[in-house]
Amino acid sequence: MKFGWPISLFGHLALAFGGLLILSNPLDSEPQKLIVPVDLLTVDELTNIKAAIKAETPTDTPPMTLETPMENAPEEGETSDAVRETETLTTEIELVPDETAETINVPDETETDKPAFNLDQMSALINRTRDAQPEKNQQRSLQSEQNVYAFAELARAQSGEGTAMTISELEALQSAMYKCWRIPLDAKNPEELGVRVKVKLRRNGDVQMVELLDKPRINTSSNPYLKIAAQRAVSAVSKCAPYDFLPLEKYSMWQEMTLNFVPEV
Amino acid sequence: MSAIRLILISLIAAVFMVSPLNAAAQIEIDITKGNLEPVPIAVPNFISSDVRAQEIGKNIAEVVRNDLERSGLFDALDPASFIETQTNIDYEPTFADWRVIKADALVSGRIVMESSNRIRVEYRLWDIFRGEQLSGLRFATTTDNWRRIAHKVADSIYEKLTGETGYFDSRIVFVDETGPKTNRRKRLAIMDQDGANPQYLLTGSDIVVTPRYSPDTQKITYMSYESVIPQIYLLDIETGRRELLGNFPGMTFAPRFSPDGRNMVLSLVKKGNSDIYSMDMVSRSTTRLTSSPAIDVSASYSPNGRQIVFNSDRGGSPQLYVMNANGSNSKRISFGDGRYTAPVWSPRGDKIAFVKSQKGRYSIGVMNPDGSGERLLTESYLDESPTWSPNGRVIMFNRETRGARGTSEVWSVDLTGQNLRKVPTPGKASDPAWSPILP
Repeated sequence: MKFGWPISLFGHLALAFGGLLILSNPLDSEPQKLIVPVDLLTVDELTNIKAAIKAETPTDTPPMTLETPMENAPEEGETSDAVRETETLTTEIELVPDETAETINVPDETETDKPAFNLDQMSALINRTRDAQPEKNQQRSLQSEQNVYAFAELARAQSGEGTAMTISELEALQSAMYKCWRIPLDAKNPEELGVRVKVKLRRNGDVQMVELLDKPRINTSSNPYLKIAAQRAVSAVSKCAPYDFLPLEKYSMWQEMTLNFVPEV
Repeated sequence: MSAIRLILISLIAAVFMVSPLNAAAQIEIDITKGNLEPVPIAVPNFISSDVRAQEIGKNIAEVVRNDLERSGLFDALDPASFIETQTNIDYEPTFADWRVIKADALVSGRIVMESSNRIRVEYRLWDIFRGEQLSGLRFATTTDNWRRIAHKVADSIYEKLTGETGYFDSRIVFVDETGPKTNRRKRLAIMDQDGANPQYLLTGSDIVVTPRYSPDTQKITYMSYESVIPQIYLLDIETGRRELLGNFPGMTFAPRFSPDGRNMVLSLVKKGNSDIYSMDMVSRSTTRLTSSPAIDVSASYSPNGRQIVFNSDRGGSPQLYVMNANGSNSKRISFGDGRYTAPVWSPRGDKIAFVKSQKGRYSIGVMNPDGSGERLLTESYLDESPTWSPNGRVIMFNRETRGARGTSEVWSVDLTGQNLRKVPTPGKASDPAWSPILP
């Protein structure tokens, strides 16, 4: 046992040294990976393949025609001037909103008191669905497979998913507008006469709504040319209708657009 | 249950967060180009139940069509192409019928006989594509004054569709010329801007040049060579009263009113040197505005009356200069080749018209008041004496043709250089001066 202590010391030192040797080298880490930039592309940027099953073209209601008689001009008093001052003839044509264009389900008045969301009811509905027999559901799905595909394609066509407006389609729209828009280049400071217009179109290319986006600026402006520029932009949208050259399967893309009428000086 | 509730809340929140992204995905297109084509407009004859008024209605519609057409901004459609015949202007037109003939706007009018010699003229202006009325006006006048009413109707249509005031109810004073070039007789005359109703203002024994309208359209200044030394006169159109504006020892040139009519700028020659002076129209006192040894002539006020553009050869050749109305801060604005003369500031203030002569040819041109954006609108053997329409869109000028048999005519051109037209005059004519809009 005389050598017990030195042996113990040697053994501990060897262990410590071995530990140092092992730990001094870095642990084998994961090989460093190269960071490869990846462009995220959506499907509609890669393909414009149309849906296999074409959905039936929904028909729009014909545009409304107005046959409202105007109020007769008011009577005026006598003046002795050779040329009397002008008087404005007023019209009071009430524009009836086209209710048939888009059907909106209006809830009954009796239901308006109910809360908009009842979370307990919605939870119960989800639970009931979960508890339903899975086999029965599967059978139903198989039986109506044809309808499901048709519905899917219709939904796809309606939403425009998988399609995007091509440059040539956008250019066609621009070209059409060029022909219909009387550009205010001959007005004073035409660079100040830019007008933004929001347009809603129907499926058949008819104009459902045209709205000036910067109405307050136009109405309060002292520049008379700006009002005319706005008037001409709105007229151009109506004049170019119908926009039936736009692809129907991309209706969701063009049903609502913003057009910036900016004269290029 | 609470987990499901949490999931539902998260789903609803997600829907609300996604919605703006969908809205942002809406197509937005810049429309930067358009057309400058004349606006197609339909002006049917104004209707009436009275036979005499029907004739007036036909004449009024014709004058309106001609006014709009001559402006170059409108294409008055042929009445033979109209599909709808309105019998009551108080009802909306059938817009589809007017869209078929590609009319952008429609003017439907009516004449009502108020008495044997008074008429009431009513009209409505319709935007065919927007399907709405843009304006509706009523005028009343004597039957023989129908032409002015027609011009007023045309003015209001023009204003509604272009945003700028019209110029049709205005007049032109000009110099009527008779005889050969070597022995011309020059008489002061006046007519409507479309050439109708020409009349002589003076009997014509003296030679007159450079007539200019006062802002109130009641007075005209002109230079007369009645005596050996040309003098400036002031003529009241209504009364025919003529007045000599001061008795200056030297020559006087090119008088022109200030926009408020209180002053006049003119050139006086003293000791062989021509300078620009302003004259107070009440006291008739003159103030010298330039004092260079060069020839300073053809002064014209800016529409706000704060500046004056004039022509001077102080730099060697005639060029255009702008100075403050008190004569200070004179600055040259024309630097191109050739000679620049006869500057006239536009009533809307954004342009200065001038005559430029280069290589034996003359042009009417326009430039910005700082001298930038020079553009020549015409070119001929001799184009001179530009005058602006009251709205600053059209320039009328005098064009002479070459040779002993050469003639002198009045022409007009649009600010853009388009729509060059000869203005009908009774005979040879020169020195046109466009009046402001008549009251």
